[in-house]
Amino acid sequence: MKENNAELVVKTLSKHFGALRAVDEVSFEVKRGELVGLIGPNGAGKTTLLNLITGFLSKTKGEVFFQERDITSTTPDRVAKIGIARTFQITKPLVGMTVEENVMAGALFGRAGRPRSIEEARKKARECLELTGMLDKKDLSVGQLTIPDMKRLELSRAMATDPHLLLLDEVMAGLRPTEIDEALSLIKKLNETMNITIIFIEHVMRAVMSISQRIIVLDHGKKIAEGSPEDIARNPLVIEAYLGKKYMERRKSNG
Amino acid sequence: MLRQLFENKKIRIIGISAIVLFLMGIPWLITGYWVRLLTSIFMYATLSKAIDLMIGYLGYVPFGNVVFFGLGAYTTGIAMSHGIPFPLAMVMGALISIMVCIFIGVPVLRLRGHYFAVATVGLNGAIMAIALNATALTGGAMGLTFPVLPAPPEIIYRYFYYMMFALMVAAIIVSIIIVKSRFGYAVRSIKANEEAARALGINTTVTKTAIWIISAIITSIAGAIYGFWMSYISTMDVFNIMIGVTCILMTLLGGAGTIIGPILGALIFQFLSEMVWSQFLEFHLGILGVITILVIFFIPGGLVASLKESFTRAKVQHKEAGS
Amino acid sequence: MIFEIALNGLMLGGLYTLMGAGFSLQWGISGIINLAYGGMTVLGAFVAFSLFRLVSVQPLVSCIPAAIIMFSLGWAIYKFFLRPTIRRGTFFVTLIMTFAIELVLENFMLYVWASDYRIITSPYSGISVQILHAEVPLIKLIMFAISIACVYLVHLFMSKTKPGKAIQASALNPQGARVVGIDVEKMYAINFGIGAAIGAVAGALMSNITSFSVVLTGSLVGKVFVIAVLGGLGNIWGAALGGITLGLVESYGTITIGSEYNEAIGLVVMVLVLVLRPRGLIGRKYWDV
Repeated sequence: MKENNAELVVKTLSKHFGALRAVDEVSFEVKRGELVGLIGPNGAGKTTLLNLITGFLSKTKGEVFFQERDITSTTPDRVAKIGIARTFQITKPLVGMTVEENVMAGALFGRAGRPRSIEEARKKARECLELTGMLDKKDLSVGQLTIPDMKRLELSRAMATDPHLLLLDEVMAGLRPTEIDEALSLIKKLNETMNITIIFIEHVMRAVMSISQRIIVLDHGKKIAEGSPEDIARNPLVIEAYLGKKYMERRKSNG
Repeated sequence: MLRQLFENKKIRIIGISAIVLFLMGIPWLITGYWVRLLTSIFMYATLSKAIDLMIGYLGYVPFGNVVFFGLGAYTTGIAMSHGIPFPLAMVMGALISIMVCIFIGVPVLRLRGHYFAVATVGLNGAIMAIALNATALTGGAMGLTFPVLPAPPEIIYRYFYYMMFALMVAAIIVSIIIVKSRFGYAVRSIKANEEAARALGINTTVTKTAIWIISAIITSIAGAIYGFWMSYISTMDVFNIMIGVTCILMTLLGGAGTIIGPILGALIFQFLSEMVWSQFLEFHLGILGVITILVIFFIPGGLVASLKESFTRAKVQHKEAGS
Repeated sequence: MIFEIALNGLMLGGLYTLMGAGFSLQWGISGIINLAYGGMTVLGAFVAFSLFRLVSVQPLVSCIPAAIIMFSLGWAIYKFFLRPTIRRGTFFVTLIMTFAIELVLENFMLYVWASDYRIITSPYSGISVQILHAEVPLIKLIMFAISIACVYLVHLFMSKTKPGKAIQASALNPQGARVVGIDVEKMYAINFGIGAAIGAVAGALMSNITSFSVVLTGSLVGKVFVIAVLGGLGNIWGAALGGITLGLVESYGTITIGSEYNEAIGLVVMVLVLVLRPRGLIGRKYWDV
């Protein structure tokens, strides 16, 4: 059976805001353990798609399956409980709580299992902060963090929920090149050693091309391409919609 | 210096035990007037703690939370007039409050900000009107009389003193437990960012309803004790929005979202109220308004935060002077 | 019978429209839920009452001085109390601030006029007019006409004049308004004053048909809140929809269940609308405030 190792199946999913078709009949599958990049120009509907999958928006049409169960009309907290974690493009830190407490909130809830005690949650939170290199900032209040640190916090908190599937919304925006490399190796590590399926939205093209096993491209709410990084880079539709001529020229001159 | 004293655990335990013992013994040494004043302080402290569970921890402002005070008082009064003993009647009041929370709370808690605040006022107004007009059950505008305890006044005063005191201690303990628990993390996460909380797997509807139920139970028990204590209640009296607003003000004054803030606020406020402006009854409302304005302008974070800040500043200055 | 109920509801709805419009403007444009609105309305009524009693100003004419006085008061309250509060605290602190102002206003009125119920008996209060089969007191008709005229004037001011447009721009896009040189804070203050003045006119009109007292302030705030929720915010026509709906519901309720439930009916309708139609009767979301 083909669907057996499918972690996430999206079938003709649509979201209309009045006349605007933010997401228009999008279908795709993500296999267990895959690392998938989701790209598209601004306003292509990437974040809307994420919001549909995680239940923050209700669909106009279509279905979403996670581990073969229908999660189309499931509320965000249920979605998190069955093992889908996400980060927000505009970070949503828990203001008024420390960095550690933020991540502990993730560890205390998240994927349903035995609820952790406060102490276990603290331990889990420290592990996650260690991974993202935020451990030395655990006692800061979130108001004191820089934007890149906010992104790291979002990622730590999402990981603390023990997800099967992690949806990352532009976690690398605003990072410096060396930091992007760190983030990339972290995402790869999460995917390979911890066996978490990951879908990530990213504008940093180098990042998407270098680690994605597969890329899905959206434009004006429609899926216009899907394939390996090499296929995507060569796909004329994608080039036209998103990458533009400059990227291709640079690629040629570099290669 | 003072701060170090507070931080030392042993000293803190001794201090708290001393205060508790003092408050347990004091009603035997003072006159009935003071016993009653302290009882009313405990009541306002309890109500402020209950409302602060919503304001300080959850970040919702139930302007009409007094509805549970009224429900508690009326249910208890009606039950007692049918011969049901006080403890059972009190539990019935709490159950009614829980039911209102569940049936009305779930939809109303979907509203945010002002809408929630004022929807609770609407709820209070509607239930008050029902209580006022269901004359057969509630006595309507005539009010409701409770059975009077067959005992001399001093004993009755002490009886209610200890009841209110116990309720206040219970409210404090509940708030401490909540802050330190998994449930407390859920509540605080919702206050911090409701969407993020949902993304982490927190069922916000259940959590919000649960904390409101806890607040309602405490408020309704306070109402039950108040009714029995006063032995006569009217709708104007126990559904009075001013009670809730006064408690919000006490919470603001002491510091929202702190363990001791609402208690401190209630203490200062009630003392001021009794000592200062009971002399100027004509200007009671106006003075209340002016104090509110002053608190908002000059101690916006509440006394607890201001005190902490001045301690820290003193410490820094101390260090600088030493170096 | 039904016609009479509807007619009465409509007359009442006219007054409610005006009353709700002021509150709705203050909320929708200046961003303030004004719990002192009831106090401002009753203060308007008292000003009209005193002018009538002391210097025999025609009760309907006294709307004008009442409006001027309350405009100034509203403007000052915004500038000196509300603005500084908004700057330093959350919405709920501002809400408490308006309540504190309400307390001070109430105390002032209690001191000056006591808590007795008053009514203005105008020269035309005995006259009735026949409309189809129903008798309508002339004063109610006049009041209805003035209410609608005032609402229309406010609409004209907001949509046709320069300051009106500046106020609207400040509400829709404060940043943009600042860029084109509008003093946004000043506009909010003026708008708040206009809201208070509208409340005062409504109060002065109300004093011609029912008795009033300081005790009424709370239930008036309840009513305008219901109107605002039913109709949507910052929108005159929303206030009309909300006001007339409330007027009809109350006048029908008075006949069927009894006037003592008037307030409760309004509040229940409001809670129902909030819960069942969170977008309001004409579609505005309530939970993203």
